Amino acid sequence: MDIPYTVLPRKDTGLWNAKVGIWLFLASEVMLFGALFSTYILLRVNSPETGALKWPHHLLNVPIGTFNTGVLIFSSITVILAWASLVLKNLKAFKWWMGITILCGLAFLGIKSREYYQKFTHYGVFLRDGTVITGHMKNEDVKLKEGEVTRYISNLQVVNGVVNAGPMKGSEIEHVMIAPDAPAGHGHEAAEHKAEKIEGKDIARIASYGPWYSPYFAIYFTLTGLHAIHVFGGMVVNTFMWGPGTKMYFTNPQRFTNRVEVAGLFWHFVDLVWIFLFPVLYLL
Amino acid sequence: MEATVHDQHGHATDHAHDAHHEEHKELSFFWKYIFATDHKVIGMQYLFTGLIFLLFGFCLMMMMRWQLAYPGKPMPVVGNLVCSALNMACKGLGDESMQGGVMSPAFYNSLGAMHGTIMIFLGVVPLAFGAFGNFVVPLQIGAVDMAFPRINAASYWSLFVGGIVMFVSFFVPGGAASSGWTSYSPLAGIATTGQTLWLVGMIFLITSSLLGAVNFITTIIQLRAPGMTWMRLPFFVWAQFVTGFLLLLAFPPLEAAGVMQLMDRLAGTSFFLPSGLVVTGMPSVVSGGGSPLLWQHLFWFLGHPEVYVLILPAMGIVCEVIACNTRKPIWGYRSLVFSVLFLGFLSFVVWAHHMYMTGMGQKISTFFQTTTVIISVPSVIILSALFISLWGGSIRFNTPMLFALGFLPMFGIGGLTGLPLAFNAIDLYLHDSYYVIAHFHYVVAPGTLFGLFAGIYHWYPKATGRMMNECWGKVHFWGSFVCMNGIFMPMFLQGMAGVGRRWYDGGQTYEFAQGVIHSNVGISMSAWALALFQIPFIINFFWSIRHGKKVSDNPWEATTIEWAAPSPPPHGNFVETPEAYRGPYEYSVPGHPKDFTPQSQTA
Amino acid sequence: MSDTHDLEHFKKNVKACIVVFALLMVLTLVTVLISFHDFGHPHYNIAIALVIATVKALMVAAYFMHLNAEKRTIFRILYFTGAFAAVLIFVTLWCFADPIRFIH
Ligand code: HEM
Ligand SMILES: [Cu+2]
Repeated sequence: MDIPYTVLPRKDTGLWNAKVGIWLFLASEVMLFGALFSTYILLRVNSPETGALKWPHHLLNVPIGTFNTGVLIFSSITVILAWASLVLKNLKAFKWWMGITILCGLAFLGIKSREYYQKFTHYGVFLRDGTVITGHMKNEDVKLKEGEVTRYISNLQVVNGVVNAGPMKGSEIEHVMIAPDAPAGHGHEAAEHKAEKIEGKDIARIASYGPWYSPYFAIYFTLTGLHAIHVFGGMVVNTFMWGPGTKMYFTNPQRFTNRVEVAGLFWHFVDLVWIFLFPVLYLL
Repeated sequence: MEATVHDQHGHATDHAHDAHHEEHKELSFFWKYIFATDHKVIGMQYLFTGLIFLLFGFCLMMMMRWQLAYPGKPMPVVGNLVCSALNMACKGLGDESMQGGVMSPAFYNSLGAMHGTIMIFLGVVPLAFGAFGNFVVPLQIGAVDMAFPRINAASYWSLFVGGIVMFVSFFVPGGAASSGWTSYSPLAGIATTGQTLWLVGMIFLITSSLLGAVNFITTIIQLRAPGMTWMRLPFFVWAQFVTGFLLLLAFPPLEAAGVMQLMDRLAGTSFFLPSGLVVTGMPSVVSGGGSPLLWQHLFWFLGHPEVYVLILPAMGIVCEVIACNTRKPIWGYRSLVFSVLFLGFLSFVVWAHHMYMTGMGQKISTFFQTTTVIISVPSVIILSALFISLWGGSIRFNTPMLFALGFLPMFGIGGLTGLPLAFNAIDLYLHDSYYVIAHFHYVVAPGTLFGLFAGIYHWYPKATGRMMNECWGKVHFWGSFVCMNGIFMPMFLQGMAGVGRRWYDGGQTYEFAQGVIHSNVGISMSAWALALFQIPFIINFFWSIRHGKKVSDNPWEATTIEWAAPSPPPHGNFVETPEAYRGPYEYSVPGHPKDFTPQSQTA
Repeated sequence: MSDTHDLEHFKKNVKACIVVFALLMVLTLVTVLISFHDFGHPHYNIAIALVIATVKALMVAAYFMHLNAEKRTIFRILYFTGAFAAVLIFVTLWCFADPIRFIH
């Protein structure tokens, strides 16, 4: 028993099965990211004009982001070349281009996680008067009141003495020291300022630049995180095509080419999503 | 992304050779029955999973009905059993929930939320879409299998994992999710661990439906047998086709919302938490700036199409059964098809009729009110066409037909009582009352469930080669029919008197409810009696597998192509590739020797 | 892809993809640069950046994903998806833009 149209197209639709399947799947992905973009717009429109939750501009590292965008777009062209090599029956070239594609994906994720790390080690102290001081802190910069171990809404918890990534309340803090960022600069490399001391009674909350920091960071981490999962998924598929999956080339080359095309379509879609993510998160 | 069964076996054996020579046999058993890729086996897996969860969800409800009928009284026997079971699984949980057999308010909330969730996502969807879709659609279009058998299996196992997660959530500290099946934030954002598991479970269930939808749509587009043009598809296939699109495009926003609520709970974000949130008297430490209403939008963007996911397959089944048992063509096949397409399309633009109470302005309320009223038109067309189809037929009143006939007025009541809810002025009064509960249960319980029962009785001989017992089938039908109405009819009155849904005491403490609360006892009695009337069905179902009357491949003398396959159909379905030469419902065609002309018959 | 004509055509398409790739890179740089330029109101910046992003996305879809030569069935699926995604985004926004007015 054979399922028809796995290799050659059906006459009336002109398509083979997996082509229909992948586009349907991508349609659902459009709705997934559509909902997240919808959330982005809403959070942004709702955000206050001033104060701690004001929507930031050029907060992320633009050069790194631009470079990463380049990496992803480049990987999109290499995956095409990989597929084209297969169509032209050149398996060796396919292996090269696919290998490069996978490496690009790896580079993208590496750079992305480096960016995440930088954010997690950067802090904001929200004062009771509504202003925020952002900058760098170390564990010993925070002095908690005697015996404070706090549980917060849902499961975030801060253990005595250690500033975890999660936010903490001012009422539990004796005082903190923070080395503020240079005003109006976007680089952290700007000359370190002298640490300032802030009393616990003035502090509403402290948080690192994690998803909990503000609605902007919430949507930033969620969107880029989901996107990264997609990149990872695409890499798994690509690696399969590059490695064990290649076996099929010798038994059913046409079908293998179809598979690579489908994997490529997914990969392009991931690229396409990033084309929107980059400006809305990094530039606007 | 693509797969064939051949390939599947190829992999399986290769693997066995590489790794463990001696395990070859076990593996092939495993591939055949557990990680099966045959659409019929997967259909059966869905069927059993769905039926078990349906029963489970019903049991939750029977416990709640005790509390509503006799508020605060200890539940005999079951109460203590549940208490000790929960205590055993998680220390102290039983005492919190059911001490001495008395249900606590929090536990009532859990039961309600999980009843809704389980009935919809683990009961009806797996049955209507997973089971019937899988078993019947490839057969009706004359295909050998689904387009992607392995994705099909993945879809089932994703559902299975989701089901396990949901089930396990009853036994974690704090109990299962208790913020309603709608999980509104911020309530759900601050709820106990059960809510986290609910979200994780939902993500698996959604993934399952998405994979299923991709598979169904591709199958219907690509694998129709020669001659099976779009306008020759049985209406059931059309219904599944539209259902597939609803799932495909409406579920992802809820998946996104689920991820965001999970982030709210685990990573401290504030997607759905407003600024200045105060929890149990304490200002919370979240950043705020989110919007609780956004959750409602994303939820109902799925939620409304979901109700059509629940009803369309049932309509499809009913249509098949009616055509077959009236022995005449369905009246208005084309209008049925266009109605169902139109319905699917419109169901994406009505969602905020669930949110009239959230302070939407006049313009937007008017918009949703208008679309909602419009969407009732295709539903009415479908129902009318099915009613008219009965006209002048020589009806065979067998069990599937009885259930199909029962469906019509029940769905009619459910649908028509929905119309007032479409108007926002009226909905402001009826919202969140038992009127709403009665309305949608008429659609999903005596509506959809009857449709599903009709389907089970109708296709049972195809799946097993044997009939279910008619006499017990009739007992099942009439008992269920009476009890269903006994349960839901009084709820309309309660709701109109002002009794709210999700009330722990059924209205005892409200003066205005005093006139209607006595019917709570009757409702509960009906619910328990309904359970009794399912016993003949369960026994009949299992007994007939071995002892039912043996029948031919086409015992109902039906026209659609699935009846041309052997019963039960072998792997690969048809002995020779079928071809369609005519429309799906050619019954009693003048001049033909028999009163039915199968689609696959040449002349 | 068997006969030579198709093959020629295919090679041309791949070349087109490389051109598109170059364009995408250029447009990316343009977006970055103009994000530092003040067009008078942030709204203008947003609008321009989104237009460029849309153009880029369409190029990816048309060439990389070769939608420019795709079959009708696929387009139909995508039309509906596009429509529903737009509904999701804009009608939701509309709901927030039209809150109930209180009459004092
Ligand atoms: C046939 C037996 C059934 C009975 C006796 C029953 C009874 C009820 C009752 C009394 C409630 C209201 C609980 C409350 O507000 O406190 C309820 C809620 C609900 N039921 Fe059912 N039901 C049945 C079947 C179903 C089916 C088949 C479905 C879905 C396919 C379903 C879906 C729901 C949902 C979604 C809710 C709302 C839960 C919530 O408030 O979050 N029920 N049911
Ligand atoms: Cu609705």
